Amino acid sequence: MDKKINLIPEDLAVPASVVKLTKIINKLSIVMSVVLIVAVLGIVSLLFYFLTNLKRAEASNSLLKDEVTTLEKVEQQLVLTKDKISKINQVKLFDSSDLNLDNFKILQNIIPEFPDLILGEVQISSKGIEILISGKDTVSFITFLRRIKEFDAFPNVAISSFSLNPKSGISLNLIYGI
Amino acid sequence: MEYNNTNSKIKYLSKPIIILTAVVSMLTFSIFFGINQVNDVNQKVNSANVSNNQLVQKIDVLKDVQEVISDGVSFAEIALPSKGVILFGMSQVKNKADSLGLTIQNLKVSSATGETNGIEKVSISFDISGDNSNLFLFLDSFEKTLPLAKVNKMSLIGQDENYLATVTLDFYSASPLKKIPSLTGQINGLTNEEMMILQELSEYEVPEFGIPTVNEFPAREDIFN
Repeated sequence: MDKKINLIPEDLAVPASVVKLTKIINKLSIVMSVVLIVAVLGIVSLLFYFLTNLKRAEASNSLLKDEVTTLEKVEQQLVLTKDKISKINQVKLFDSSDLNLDNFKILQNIIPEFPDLILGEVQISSKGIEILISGKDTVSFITFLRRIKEFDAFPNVAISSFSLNPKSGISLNLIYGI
Repeated sequence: MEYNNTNSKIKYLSKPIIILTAVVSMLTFSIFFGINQVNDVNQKVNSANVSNNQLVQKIDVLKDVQEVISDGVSFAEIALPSKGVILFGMSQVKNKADSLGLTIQNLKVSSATGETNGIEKVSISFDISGDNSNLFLFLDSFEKTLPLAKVNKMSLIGQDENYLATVTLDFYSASPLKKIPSLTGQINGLTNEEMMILQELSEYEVPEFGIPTVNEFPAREDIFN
């Protein structure tokens, strides 16, 4: 066994507690150095991994952008079409006389049932139908109006004018609103 | 003597403490700086991946609609033309009247008036006369006609089977979009409802124009023979 000989005078020698503390600090330094090396290696590896991923993602992004650019015409057409379709839907909701045109066809089919009634001028718009009807037989008028009432297409019928002429008979201006 | 002893203790301890402090500082710096860097790059990777996903989705959408869109855009454009709606409208009125043996007179065109959302309306008024049933066929046909048209109002007077009507038809136009989404911006494909509208429009009657014939140049004379 080696024998440790301390030749330093006792009053100049470093106390054992300080030596012990120094040893602990040294060991701690070694552990911390190892942790530092591991941390640096870990961080560098992570950085390398993410940078590689970034490079790959950016390369893919660039290729995809090129592909989108080649499809730019399709994209423009799609955007334009969607915009036009939304406007077409709005136009379809605009008022039109189509429904009243169909309703007038019902009137047209009824009138021949009353040969003594004469259909005069007809005005058709989105708001309703206005017809001038004339004839000499009052009963025909009443039957005609009753017949009209059978149809749901004419919930509101108003007589806007009435005239009586000894030669031509009665003239009625009827307004059919929806 | 006590003083010297304390000094020697400090001297003895200073070196390991300095080393430990340096190592701990480097470790702290490395961890904070490194993690920040890793986070930065990770965020860039994530945003690049998000952008890639959006682009992939966009490409899928565009490839899906590629086949139907070229026809679709034509029908949508004719349905609500950006320009030339009056010509299209007048062509339809004239062609339909001709095909049904109706006579058109006093054709008038109003100036365009703005409706909602960039839609403009042009009214074409005219007197039309002819057979009663053909007149109504003529008016009904505008329900399935391109450009989109609506019968605004009409007045008619007639005897027996012949009618004279004054009709006002509204034709609509819409200016095209001036801005398309950014390259990486998201885009949605055509919905089923939109596909049905395009399908419906494809069955509508499109305006026909006579294609002007170009006079051919006479064969050049060969001056060397």
